[in-house]
Amino acid sequence: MTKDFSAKIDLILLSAILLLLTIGLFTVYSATYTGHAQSQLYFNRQLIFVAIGLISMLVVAFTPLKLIQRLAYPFYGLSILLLILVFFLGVKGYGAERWLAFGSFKLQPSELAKLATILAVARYLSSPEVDINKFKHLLVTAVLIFLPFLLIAKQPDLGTSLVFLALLIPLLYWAGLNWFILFILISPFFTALFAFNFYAFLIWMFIVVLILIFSRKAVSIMAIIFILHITVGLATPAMWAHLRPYQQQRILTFANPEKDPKGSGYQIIQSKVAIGSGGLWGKGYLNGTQTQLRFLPAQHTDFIFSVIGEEWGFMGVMIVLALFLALLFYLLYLAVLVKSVFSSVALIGILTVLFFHVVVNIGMTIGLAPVTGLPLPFISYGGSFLISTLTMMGCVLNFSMNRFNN
Amino acid sequence: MAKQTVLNRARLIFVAIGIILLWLLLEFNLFRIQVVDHQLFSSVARRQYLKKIPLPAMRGNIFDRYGNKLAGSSIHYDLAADPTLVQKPRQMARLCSKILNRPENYFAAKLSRKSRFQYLGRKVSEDKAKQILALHDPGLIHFPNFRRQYPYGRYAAQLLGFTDPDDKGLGGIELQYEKQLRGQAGAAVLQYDGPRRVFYNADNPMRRPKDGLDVYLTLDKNIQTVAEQELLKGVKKSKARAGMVVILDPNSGAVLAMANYPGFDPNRQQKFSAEEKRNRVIADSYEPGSTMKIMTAAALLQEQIHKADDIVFCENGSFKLYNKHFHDTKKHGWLSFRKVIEKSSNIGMIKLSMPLPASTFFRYLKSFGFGTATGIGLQGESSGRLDNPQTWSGLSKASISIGYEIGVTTLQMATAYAAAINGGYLYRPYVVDHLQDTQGDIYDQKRPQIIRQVISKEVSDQLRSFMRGVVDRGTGINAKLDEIIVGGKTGTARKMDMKTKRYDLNRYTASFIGFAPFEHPRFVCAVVMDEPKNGHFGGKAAAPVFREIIRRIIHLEADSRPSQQTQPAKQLIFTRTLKDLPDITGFQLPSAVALLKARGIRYRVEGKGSVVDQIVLRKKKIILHTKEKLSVGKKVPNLIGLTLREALAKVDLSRFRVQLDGTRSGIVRRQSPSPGTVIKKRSSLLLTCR
Repeated sequence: MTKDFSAKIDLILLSAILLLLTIGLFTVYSATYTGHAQSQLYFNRQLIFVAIGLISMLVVAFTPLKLIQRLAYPFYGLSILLLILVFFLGVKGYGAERWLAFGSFKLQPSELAKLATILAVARYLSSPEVDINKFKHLLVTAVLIFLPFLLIAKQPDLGTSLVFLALLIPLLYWAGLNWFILFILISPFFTALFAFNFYAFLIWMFIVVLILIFSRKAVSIMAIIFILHITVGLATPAMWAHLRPYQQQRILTFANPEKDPKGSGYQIIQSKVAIGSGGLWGKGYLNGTQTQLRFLPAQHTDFIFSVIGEEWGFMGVMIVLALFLALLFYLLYLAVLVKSVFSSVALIGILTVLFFHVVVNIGMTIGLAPVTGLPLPFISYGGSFLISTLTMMGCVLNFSMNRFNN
Repeated sequence: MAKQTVLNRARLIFVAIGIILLWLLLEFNLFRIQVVDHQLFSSVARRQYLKKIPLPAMRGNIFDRYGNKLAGSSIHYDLAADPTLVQKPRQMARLCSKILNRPENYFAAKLSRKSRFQYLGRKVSEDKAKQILALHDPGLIHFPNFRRQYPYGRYAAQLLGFTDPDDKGLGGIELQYEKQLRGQAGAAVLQYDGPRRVFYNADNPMRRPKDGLDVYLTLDKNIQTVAEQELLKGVKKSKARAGMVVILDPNSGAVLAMANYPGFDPNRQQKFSAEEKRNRVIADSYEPGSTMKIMTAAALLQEQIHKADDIVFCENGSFKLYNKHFHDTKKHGWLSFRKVIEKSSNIGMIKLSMPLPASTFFRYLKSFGFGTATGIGLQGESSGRLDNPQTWSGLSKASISIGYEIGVTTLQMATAYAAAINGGYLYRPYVVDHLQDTQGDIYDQKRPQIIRQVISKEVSDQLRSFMRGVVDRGTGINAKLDEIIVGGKTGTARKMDMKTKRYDLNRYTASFIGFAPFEHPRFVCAVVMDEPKNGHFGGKAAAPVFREIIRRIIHLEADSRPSQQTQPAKQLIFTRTLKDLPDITGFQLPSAVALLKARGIRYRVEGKGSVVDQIVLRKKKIILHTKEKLSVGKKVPNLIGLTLREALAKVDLSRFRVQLDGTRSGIVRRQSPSPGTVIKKRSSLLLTCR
């Protein structure tokens, strides 16, 4: 069995995961260090989460691939059910997210939904009869993704819901969606973005019209698409007004953190100061002044990367980022390598989720992304997210082991 | 194969490029923040975790000549918290609410604020602060603060002055010596490192606070106390509007007491008006009336215009000069010069002074210090009024000879009288003897300063006998004491109505200025009552006050210091301070410390024990050596060959009462009991220095 285990398990993947987890544990310890015995509370809890996550990972890794594929829909159904349940039974978390409490164990259904959605979409797209370029099938895929997106956005956990939105394009793209439909799907986002500035909007509309003309589609289709853009352009400012104040605040603060140095901009400024003062080599483990003096907000969860930046400096940051990059490329490599379409699409989904989390979280700590409350995979403190990430990794290990199975 | 439709090289490359680009974006920005802009962010961070703690200097104390503390500082604490570091905010809020008498949610709100600094209480007394500091919460911040205290309240308040809530001197000595008393505040720049250890930052070294200099006054606490009490009694009895007393040492000009009524409590100075805070002794100028006759007599005697027994006809109480009528309170006929002074006849004095040229008279008055500030060195001193003889009218000389048309301060009067009775030497009065730093080094030692000799010793002796007569037989009979011979002169002057420019018929300034004892005067005491209602004569309103003061102070130990060259021994203060310190060896450390604090003695604790084992003196501090257990029996240390200062540092002062023989400094030559003697209880140790 051991021989079997070591032969089958993807050691590259496993070691990358374990390395990141180790870094994470060390950092959580530092971020919650107070010099007292009770400061180990968070660390100990995280240790338990890691253990549960690793068990979950291994269980999933050794589950027959076919079974996973078959369970994809029921799993999806279950997570949607939980997301709906949250509205009735949910308790508020630290941020905008909602939890379901089962006795002393608290579950964040949105975390479950990530993997469920990926697997469901992968299952759907891998069905031989599905052609993504057909409108009906495209619509089904979109519904699969938008359903959890809307439920989570309604919680209102903007950050996590954006992960689902981010899933849409890469999954469709990888499944072979043609360029024109891709354009139609992506362009409205730009339209929404440019809608805040009249001239930018005008230029963008001009580009859209040009692309439409070059696509040589039927005039009616072109007209519908154009009208859609105009509608989006008009609706966006109205929707902005409809956003909750804290969401507006977050987006505005992201644009100009110094405007509100004591309020929501405080987090970004303190985080930048922590990372910046870390310098090239960092201040040393447990010696980050920003960290240890609690200048950093949410330093064991959302802003844990700042702790690394301060205590380990640019060199430490490079190592962590290199590890993530290696992991992501390895996932991409696997996505190309695996024979099963289901595995391939699911891998791209997992890759997207990880990458989105990494970029938005780190971007947030250095002021490149708004403060969305997205944790850093493997490293941030938090049970649900860690377990769900490790379960995803279990899937990846599974796909890797079954790379030659169809 | 489905897979072939999915996989497409172009798509793979696109995804890879997308990942790389975003990854590079992060790396680039991290590089920018961490390497390029590192300095900027570092300085921002440093500012955040450096803490500058001001270390206030202790304001110098004000002592009387014997080292009694007239103004000192007590320690208070400003308590603050760093809410982000506070570990048990609820417990802290509850405790603060109990101790600082504010609702609990006031503190709870403060402690939940997103701030790094919140005041919990300002100027919290030491024992209250201790209870809160006992929490040992890392979020607590405390700064020592000093608050001025005047242990004797109203006594000498106008002279000492007062301070504002920030301990800045606003009046009197406090203002005058503000710079010296204040000292220099220090600063500690503390830095937290990661594990929250606090350490001194080498780049921003701590600046030690330099405590202010102590001011030693010439005042004698005991004499001041008597002056204050008797003045108050006198004012109440005569229902005067105000009153002043100043007591000088006629042989040096040192001010021994300076009292004013109405007064104020400098501990609560905000509640008092400027009227009550004014030091009338030096600031208020008044027409003295008959007390001025001594100066007139001095000029007449010194110029040898009259002898003591020359007689003059006093016109039976009414005398017309030009078109002004001068009156006496009693009708007198022929009186000798001496009797004129004793009976205080205005007419006699005016007629006697007729041969005295105006310019000569003016010169004498000027020489006695009138029309000029005495130079005591206090702010707000009035120079009084003495017009130039060129502007005098025909009546001026006559008026001035009996104390009108001239403005004097009580201090000027006392200074002039000191010159009149001490052999003719006009001393510059002074009230600050010297300044002293915490090391015992002395600055600005004042020495008695003779400004000039105004009259000869013979004339001075004559004036003394005149003044003795005033008390023995004349208007000053109320100043007479049974056992002590004193001299003095009464004064009763009508007050000018400032509106009508005419003399008021029922408002007077009553005064008595005298000296004691007769043979070798040690005190000159001037008592002035402003508008007494119950008996307006100087002999009635002021003389009894003088008498009571002298009666109570004459037996006080004469100042043992050689008056001409004062040389306060540096160590003397300490031995004096410690004189009444009980044996505190064997005390539990906290109680010993409390005792020392209560006495205002500076101390330092050495060792980690809980029981005081030995006390020695080093510099100006008491060093408490502690032990876990007390050792019984003590050997007398060998002190021979050490300097006195070294010796005192070696002696357990709670075991030995140190007595000095010979000089107060130098090398210890002899000691008794001899070294090695075992003693069981406190005993005296005689050191002979040379």
